[in-house]
Amino acid sequence: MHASLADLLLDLVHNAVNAKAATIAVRWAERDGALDIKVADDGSGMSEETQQRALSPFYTDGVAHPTRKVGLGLPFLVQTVDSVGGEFRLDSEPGRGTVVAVLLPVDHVDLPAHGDLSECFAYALAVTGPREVVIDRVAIDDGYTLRRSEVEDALGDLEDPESLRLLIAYIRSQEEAVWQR
Amino acid sequence: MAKMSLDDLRAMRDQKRRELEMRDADNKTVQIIVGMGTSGIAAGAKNTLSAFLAELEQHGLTNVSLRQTGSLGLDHAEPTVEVRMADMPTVIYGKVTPKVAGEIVRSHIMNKTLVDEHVFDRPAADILERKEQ
Repeated sequence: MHASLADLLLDLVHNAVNAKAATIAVRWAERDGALDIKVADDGSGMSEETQQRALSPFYTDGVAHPTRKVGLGLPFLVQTVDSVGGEFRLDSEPGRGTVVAVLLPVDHVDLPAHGDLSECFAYALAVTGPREVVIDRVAIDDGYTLRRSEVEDALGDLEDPESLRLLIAYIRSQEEAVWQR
Repeated sequence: MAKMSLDDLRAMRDQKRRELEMRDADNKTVQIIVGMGTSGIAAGAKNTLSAFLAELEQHGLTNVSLRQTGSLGLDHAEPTVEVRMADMPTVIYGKVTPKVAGEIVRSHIMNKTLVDEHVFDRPAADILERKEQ
């Protein structure tokens, strides 16, 4: 089970990478007592049947690991949503991509910790491969947007540890500005 | 910390590059690849990645690239990390906690010595050759 919501988000981003998405759009929005998280990609997508099976822990597409019998990414997320009485939405279409969205009550006692959002966003932007990643962080009266193309333009290769450290520091400054409001 | 702009970020990058160029002009000759599949993340791979970042900074290593990938296929041994570098066999390490990440940097990368108890895959042929010699 994932330790934090940030871990769940990073897992969804890696699912989009595995689906060969060219663009991954992430939203992390806090408003009206709810946390609204969405990951949308333009990757390979799933049929209706595959979507249903993807919610089972005893299903995997077998593409990356042909002998594997389980796939736990989405089941972990659904279990977390169920445990706090949240909402889960999965929209997908073969060849068009996938949208995974959850709505979570922030004051529920069983809601996992947010985790380190700055690191999570930095690692999501730095996923391997030539693709655009856009992260919209929405908070009450404030927020910021991160685009991989922009931070790569500023920092260069995000697999360079120094670039990654600077990126985390940059995102922390955005987060602190959000919390100071 | 004051809120940074992208121009601030560029200026910091340029400053760091000047410092690094003065200290070390090597290209990236070492690859650390962290498995970030579901099982890896559940086992703490994000903390492992962060530990590598900190350890590389502590030792001033600039010739390393730090990549993420999906599962490396050894779910029983997560978090898993592959290390590729010259003069060493390509190795997949398992159960790489933040503490073990530090050992990999100090032992494998800096001293070219395997962290034996965490080797889970890919070293066999090379190691056997060395041990037979």
